Amino acid sequence: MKKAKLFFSTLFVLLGVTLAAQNVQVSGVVRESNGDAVTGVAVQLKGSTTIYAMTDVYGNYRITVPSNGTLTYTCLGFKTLEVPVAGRAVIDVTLEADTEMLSETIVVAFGKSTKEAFTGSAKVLDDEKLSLSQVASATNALAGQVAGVQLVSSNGAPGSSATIRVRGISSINAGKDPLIVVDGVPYDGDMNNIAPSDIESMTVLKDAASNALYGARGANGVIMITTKKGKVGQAVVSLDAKVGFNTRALQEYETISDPRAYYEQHYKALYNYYTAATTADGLGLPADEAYMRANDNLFDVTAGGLGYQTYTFPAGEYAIGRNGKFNPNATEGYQLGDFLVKSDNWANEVYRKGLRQEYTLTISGAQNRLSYFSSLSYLSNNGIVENSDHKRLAARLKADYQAKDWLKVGANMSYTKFNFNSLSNNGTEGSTGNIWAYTSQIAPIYPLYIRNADGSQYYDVNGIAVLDHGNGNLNTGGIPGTSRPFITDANPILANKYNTNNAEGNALSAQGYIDIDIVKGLTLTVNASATLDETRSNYVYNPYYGQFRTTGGTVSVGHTRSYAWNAQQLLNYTRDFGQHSVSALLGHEYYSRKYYSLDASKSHMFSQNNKELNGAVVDTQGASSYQTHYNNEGYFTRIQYDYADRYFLSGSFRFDASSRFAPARRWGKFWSVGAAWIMSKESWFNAPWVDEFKLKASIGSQGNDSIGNYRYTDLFEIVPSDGEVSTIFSSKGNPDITWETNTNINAGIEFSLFRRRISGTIEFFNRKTTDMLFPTPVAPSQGYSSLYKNIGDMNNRGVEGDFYFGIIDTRDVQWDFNLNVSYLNNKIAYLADNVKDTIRYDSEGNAYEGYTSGSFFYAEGMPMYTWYTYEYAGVDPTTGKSLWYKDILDDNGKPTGRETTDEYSKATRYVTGKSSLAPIFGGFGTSLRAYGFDFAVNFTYQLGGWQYDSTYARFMYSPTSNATGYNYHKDLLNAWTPTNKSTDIPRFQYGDTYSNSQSTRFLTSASYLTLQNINVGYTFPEKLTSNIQISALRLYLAVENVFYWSARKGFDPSQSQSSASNATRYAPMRTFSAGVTLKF
Amino acid sequence: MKKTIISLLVAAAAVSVLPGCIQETLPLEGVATSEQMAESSAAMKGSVDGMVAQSYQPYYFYGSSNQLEYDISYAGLLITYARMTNDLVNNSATIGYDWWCGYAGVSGYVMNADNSRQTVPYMTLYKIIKSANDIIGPLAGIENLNADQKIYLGTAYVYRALMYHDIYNMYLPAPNKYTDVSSVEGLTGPIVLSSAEPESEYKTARAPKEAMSALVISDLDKAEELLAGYKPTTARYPGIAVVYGLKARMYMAMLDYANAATYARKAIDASGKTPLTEAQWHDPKTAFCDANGNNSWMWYYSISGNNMGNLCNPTGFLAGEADWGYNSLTHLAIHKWLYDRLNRTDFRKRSFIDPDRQTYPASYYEWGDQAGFLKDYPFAKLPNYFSLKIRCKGGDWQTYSKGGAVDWPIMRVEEMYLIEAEAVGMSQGETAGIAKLEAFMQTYRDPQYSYAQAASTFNEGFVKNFQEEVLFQKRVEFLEEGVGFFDAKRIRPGMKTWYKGSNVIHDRAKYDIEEVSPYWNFVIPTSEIENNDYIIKEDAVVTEIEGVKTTRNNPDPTDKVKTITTKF
Repeated sequence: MKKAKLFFSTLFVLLGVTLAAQNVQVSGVVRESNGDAVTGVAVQLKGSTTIYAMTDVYGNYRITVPSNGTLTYTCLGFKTLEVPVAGRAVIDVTLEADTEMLSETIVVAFGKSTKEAFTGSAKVLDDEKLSLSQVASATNALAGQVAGVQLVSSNGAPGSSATIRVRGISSINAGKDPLIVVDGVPYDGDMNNIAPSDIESMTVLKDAASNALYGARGANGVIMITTKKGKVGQAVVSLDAKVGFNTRALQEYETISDPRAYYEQHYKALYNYYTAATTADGLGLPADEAYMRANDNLFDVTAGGLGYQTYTFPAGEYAIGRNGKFNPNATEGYQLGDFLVKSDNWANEVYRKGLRQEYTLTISGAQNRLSYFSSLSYLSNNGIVENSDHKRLAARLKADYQAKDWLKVGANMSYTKFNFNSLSNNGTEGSTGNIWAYTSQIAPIYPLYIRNADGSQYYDVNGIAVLDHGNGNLNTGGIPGTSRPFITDANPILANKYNTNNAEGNALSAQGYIDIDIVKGLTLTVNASATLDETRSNYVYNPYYGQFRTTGGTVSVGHTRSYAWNAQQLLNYTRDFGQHSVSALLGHEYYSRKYYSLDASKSHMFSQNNKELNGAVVDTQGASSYQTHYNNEGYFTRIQYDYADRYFLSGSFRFDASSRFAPARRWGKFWSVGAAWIMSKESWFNAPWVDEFKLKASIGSQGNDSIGNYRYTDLFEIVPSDGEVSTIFSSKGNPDITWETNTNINAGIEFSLFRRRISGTIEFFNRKTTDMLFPTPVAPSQGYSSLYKNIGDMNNRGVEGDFYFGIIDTRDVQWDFNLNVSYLNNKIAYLADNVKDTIRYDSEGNAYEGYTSGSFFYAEGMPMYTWYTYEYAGVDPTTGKSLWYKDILDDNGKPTGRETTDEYSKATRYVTGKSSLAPIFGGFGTSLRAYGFDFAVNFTYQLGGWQYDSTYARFMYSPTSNATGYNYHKDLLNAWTPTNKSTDIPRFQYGDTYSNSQSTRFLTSASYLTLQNINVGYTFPEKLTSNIQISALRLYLAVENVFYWSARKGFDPSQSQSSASNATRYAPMRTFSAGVTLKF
Repeated sequence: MKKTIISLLVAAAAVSVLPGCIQETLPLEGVATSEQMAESSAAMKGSVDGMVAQSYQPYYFYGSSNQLEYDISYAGLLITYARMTNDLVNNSATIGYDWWCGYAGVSGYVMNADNSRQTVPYMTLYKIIKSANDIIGPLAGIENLNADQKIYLGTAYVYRALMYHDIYNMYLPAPNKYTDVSSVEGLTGPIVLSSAEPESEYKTARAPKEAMSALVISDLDKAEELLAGYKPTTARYPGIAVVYGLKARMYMAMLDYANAATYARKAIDASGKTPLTEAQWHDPKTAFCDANGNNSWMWYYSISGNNMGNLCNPTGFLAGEADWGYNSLTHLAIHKWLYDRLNRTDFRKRSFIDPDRQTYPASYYEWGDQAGFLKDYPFAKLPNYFSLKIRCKGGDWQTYSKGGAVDWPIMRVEEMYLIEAEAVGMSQGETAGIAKLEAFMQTYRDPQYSYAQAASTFNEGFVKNFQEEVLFQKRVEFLEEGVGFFDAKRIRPGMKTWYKGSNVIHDRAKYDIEEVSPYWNFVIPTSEIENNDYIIKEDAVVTEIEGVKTTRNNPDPTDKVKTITTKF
């Protein structure tokens, strides 16, 4: 019917034209406001579908139309312009950029939406914001930028990615990471393989209306990454180069760093032990004897001493005088046999400035029916210690082609080559292989180097500059005659130098789509993509020193391949009926990911330079290979309706299947509904200073299937039994395992005031997780310890505000300020009876039913990561011992009151009510542009929450036979003594095992403020640069991770939520860069 | 028109992939699902072989992600038993590398019900019981078992008996001066049976020792019948002699010395095994690491090089030579008093480095050092009394996957001789027992051995009577192997680590414990108490559930023994 109408109306128009007017040939140039020609503009006779032309690369067009007709100029990115011909032969026009349309488009699940019509909650980070961060992994740039999003980074090494939490923590045992979607396709690869400079925008989708279409994988939020594409106009060649360096951003604790002062302090521990009365766990020796014995034993490792004498004292003189001070006559260095023993500052010797370089070349444009974007970038990022670096070469080619007016095709291909060298054992405090454990914890007295008698470096027969392993044995890297109680028999710095821990590989991604307009308003889109990530790892353990010393060198080579395949079929229908507008989506998606692993190792290498298996001869019998397969399929629909661009409704539904569940339990239903009302568009709304005022709300559910594979069935390990295949029961399955379901409610307002000088959003949300997955404990006498069940609820409630203030907005000066703040209340809402099998009490005697996991207690009504520990009650003023609280129990084991005790084993562990989660967090920043200069600074912050400062606790110890030779914190100088009784720090006495035991004493406010980055730039005036064919030239300086403020110097609460904070992780890096951006 | 055709084609192509892409995935990892097991005809054999292989598995319970290095299944338990009597001395500057020192009673190591040092042994035992039950369940109901099925079922009963025998000994509280065990007297662990058997009358409460021993003997009786005439291809699988040997052990624990003596003798006779010779004992390539190097092992487990941890393996923990494991850091040595009490003529004494290195230089040990360890390693750096008893397979002390891929004895015939000696002494009079002991010692270990001479040191306080003398010989004979701990709990010899001249270097390991250490009474882990209504905390009120009384946990031994600070 409609077609017939169209046909007749066209016919009448054509008839009318031939009857009423003469044709004229019109030509002209289309430019944009800056004078540049615009290519690919459709110039069309209004009302005609057959009479049209396109502008060429110079913006020229030519068209023959009736002299009384009207021309329309249409081009993506510009406002459509209508110009009456009025008999003219030349019509030059200037198109106005459609800024509103550009900035207000939001990438949503399986499509785009305008910001107006969007009923959900999302925040877009555009490339301009993105470029302010010097990150290798784009998601790291989200720090402080998006309300409700928190980043936690427990590893500062090059190539590490932060953990992202969107609106809190949705689960105890299932995955908590958001789904990453790159150009519409779920991405499980390494974020480091996507060059941030290729990214046009990152959109964080936070609520059900946005995420429900991702069904079983949407529960933790979705981050939509859209890569750049060519912009209409001439080709733009852009070159960006920056060079800089990385330094350590983690502050150092205030330790006793002078070796002499360290000896004094250790002497004090021994002296106090010898003089203390036997009732005070001492030996009760007279002062004179204690003085001599403490001096005698100061360097004797089996008698509580430090093991190393690094100073020489005049004959007959002791190290420490009767006044407790270090012998002023001492000289540095001590001759021990053939070697000179001298103290070294390990940290100073190990840290370096790591060079960072990044170069990006992009060429992009869009002409006629083709738009394209191509890029090539190279990153070389060296960490702050040797052998930790990341190199990346990334290339991308993306093109869209309007093949027919009803057919559009596109392809997006990227290739990344990467190479990482990394350190091992990040974060493990006592590990022999962890450089950070050594450099941050070792006492300042211990030598790093083995020195010949003349002070020169000792080299072994292999020409290796031997570093001290602290084992007293020259053959195994020790200084003969002395041994180190601090992590004995290892030197990770030497190991790092001679070992290899490398991973290199290729990531390839290819994506294609085809869009077909079947009939007006109805489009079929077919998407397909494949990503392949191949990594080859190479570990070599040196044959000279350390654990693999006698193996003649051990080499391991591993290979992993991750192959993901995604196919989508989407049918979109859009139609307007007067003021009503409807759009509907029907779709199907299939996603499959296979992961392959293969590795083997051999020992007795021919040479340290031949790092291949064939270069070694003895098989260490560790060959292994396996593969895992995950696949997921969904059918979905979404319907959107709006009336008069004022009232918006949306609804979505997805029927989803995941291979992680038993076949009978595989399919689940997820849904959402949302509504929005732009109140400011109502005729009665009469506040001219309000540009826009919008109310919105949504509710819906998503799933979380990241619960591990094969939880639904019993598993048996396949092991060798003297050459025979055999099986051993390993875990009990539960066929009823299903999704964790997340029900989200979101409601909020969006506003814009004073001609967009102030704008923002305020949103309330409630995310409720139900069917939370739990390994419900089983009596271990059954032969297994737990069974996975879906029992448990969790709530994340909160408010988010995101505000923008345009303080100055003139042609030459623009200054704005942005702020986001989130309040989050995380609570475990329900636990099954056999999960909450323990009753524990807080300090006031209130009982909580729940369970203990590590240092946390989990109970209903309590937030995640609530510390469960002993409560410090200060120092006993008479004995100087630490005191802790201890419950007085009645016959039923219930506390009736409490008292203090100095016996740690008798103290009570309390539910502290302090969680590591901060209730308030966010970021703020400001940017200023004036006369070509630009300046931007961004901060992130968190307020509240409690973190356990385990490094500080480590440094506040008294030495014992189990812990000697660690750093002492300066606060120990204020320890209890008979003359210093009013202190909170217990006595400092050798053998006091419990002096720094875990308690509330070391729970520290997790509030912090981080100066995330500073950018300063200058863009040369175009009139200067255009003479040399450069359309833009900008010079800039950028600093990332500039500084942070926390409760204690050295303490970094941003490293973890789920474990104690400690300095034995790869320190976060500060990056300084200077760069230039050129555009042609 | 063309457009319509293309559209239709694309739509058809797109729609054709629509329905049911989702695929059932099956693991292609080192695991099998119960569905895959059900489809396999060899599943039962695989399960039996798995139960046998289960004696040794790295990161058995906690998994490699948690890497508790003492988590090595039954192999780990044998080391635990070996450390309980504190016959080994740690020589490292710090104790931290010694994963087992908590079991050795070093102060500062928590040994309460929450600690994994208590969870690991408990889980290990019951996990193996589950494997046995999973074999017993399907087979016990079959009336006419074929020959293979008889062996499978018999083998499962033997494994279950071994586990419950150990549970009996570990959890049955021995009265001691340091903790009050009056409310848990006579209690062992819960009895969990297969689906085919009736539930224990004690439900999952701690079974009284009588019920537990009856179960062990009854399982062994069934095994005796099922395995009659069966000659296992290797001693990895238990045969009839092992059944007798286990009975001998169980009767010892029950203080039924007459039966113990009978079954020890039956085990010796049925096994056809002979005690290790001097050459076998010191063989640098096969001693205590290779079942083919001797005719003494009645039962052993075997470690495969492609299923082991580079640190988590028994050899690495105990073999003096092994360079790859923790012992290269802890340098375990025999306690000086044990060493001193051995005659020079006892060849076992040459397993330990004598402090007098002038008289006994490296070359003294080198006759047994063909592997070159003492040549390559600075002999002078090794601590006194350093133990070289446990060897690396093939002498390879440098490659863990070879030197550590060992066989390890679970039962040696020597144990039967010593059980016989003690049991005869206790049931037929000490003289008869002494004769047995002297015969064994003089024939196989020390031609100069004389009980009278040994007895002359009884007043020194380390070894006080006949039973303790047999125990002393077990402690030396089975040092680092795990035999002797249960006997110590029964014989109550005390545990003295700090004495004049003691080679203990760490203050936290200096003790003089009278009769029985509180650590010897293992504690049931919290996870069992929280999920088993019948077992309650050590201080909870005993109630009754459906006619069955709840049972308390053993008391927490942590820090109940005071360390000694005396300087001699």
